Amino acid sequence: MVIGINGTMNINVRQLRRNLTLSIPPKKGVFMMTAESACPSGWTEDTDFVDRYPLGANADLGTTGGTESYSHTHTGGWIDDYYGSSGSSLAAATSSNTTPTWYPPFFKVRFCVKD
Amino acid sequence: MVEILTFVKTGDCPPGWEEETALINKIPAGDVSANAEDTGGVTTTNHTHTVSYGAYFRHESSSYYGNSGTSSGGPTGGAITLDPPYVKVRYCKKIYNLAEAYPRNSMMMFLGACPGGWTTQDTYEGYQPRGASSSLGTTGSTGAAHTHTFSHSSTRLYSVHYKYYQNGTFPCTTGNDDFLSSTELFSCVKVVICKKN
Repeated sequence: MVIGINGTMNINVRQLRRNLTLSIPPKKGVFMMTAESACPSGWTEDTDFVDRYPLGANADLGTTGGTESYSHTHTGGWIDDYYGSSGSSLAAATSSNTTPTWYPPFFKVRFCVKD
Repeated sequence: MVEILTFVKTGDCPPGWEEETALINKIPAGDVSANAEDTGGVTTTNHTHTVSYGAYFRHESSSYYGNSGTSSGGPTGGAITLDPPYVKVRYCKKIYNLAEAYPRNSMMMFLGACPGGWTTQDTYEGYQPRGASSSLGTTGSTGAAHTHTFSHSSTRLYSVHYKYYQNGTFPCTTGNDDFLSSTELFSCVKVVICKKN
């Protein structure tokens, strides 16, 4: 038995396109950020990024580097003395090393990679 | 049309995505008014220290110690290359006009305003994303405040009557002692951080 249908079908093309696009998952291997307690289903946390920034590169991908602190010295300098002999030079002074912690201002996120 | 930005840790960008070379050697930074490939930040910086000192002057023939003085000038450090901890990644971008199927609360970077269905995260204005395992979503501002203690040993003759020895250590207590201020960014490309609704 064959059933025939006569009539008009209205299709919302914009909605259809949106729905079709939404069905396309992000590609495997791409990253997103989240502040949730865990990565969503289908995504895996990459702990390599804990306490690190994603630095743009086109070689040696996945390698790590950089430092959390930095040691440096200062040499030279001069001071005016209390008795008014302004501007006289002292022998060079060398600073002790210090290791300040240095980060650019950051916001904390969990990096998730698409399975 | 919006450019969405992501990255991969191995290999090339996925099919349909184009490598974003503007981010090579850079870290993205949140900026709600960012346009494509706006840049900022620094990779090197200089700083100086202004020295103040106290009781470091001693009269040759007495126990008198001068105990005051004003600082003037100060040691200047050389250029410092900023090198925050990083993981090297390849940034990829894609131009599209419809939202993709990212999970709710995903945060992504865009080279332009957030598209429909995504909300701008203006909390992260001026901040750079850093991986963490706790206290997620909070911001930090570290900079690099530090002090130096200088030591020297020298002798100066001031007059026929007085001879002072200057030695010991003196702290650097004032001046520009941040080589990375609390608002200074590492070399960056400015992006809009958006969260999926």
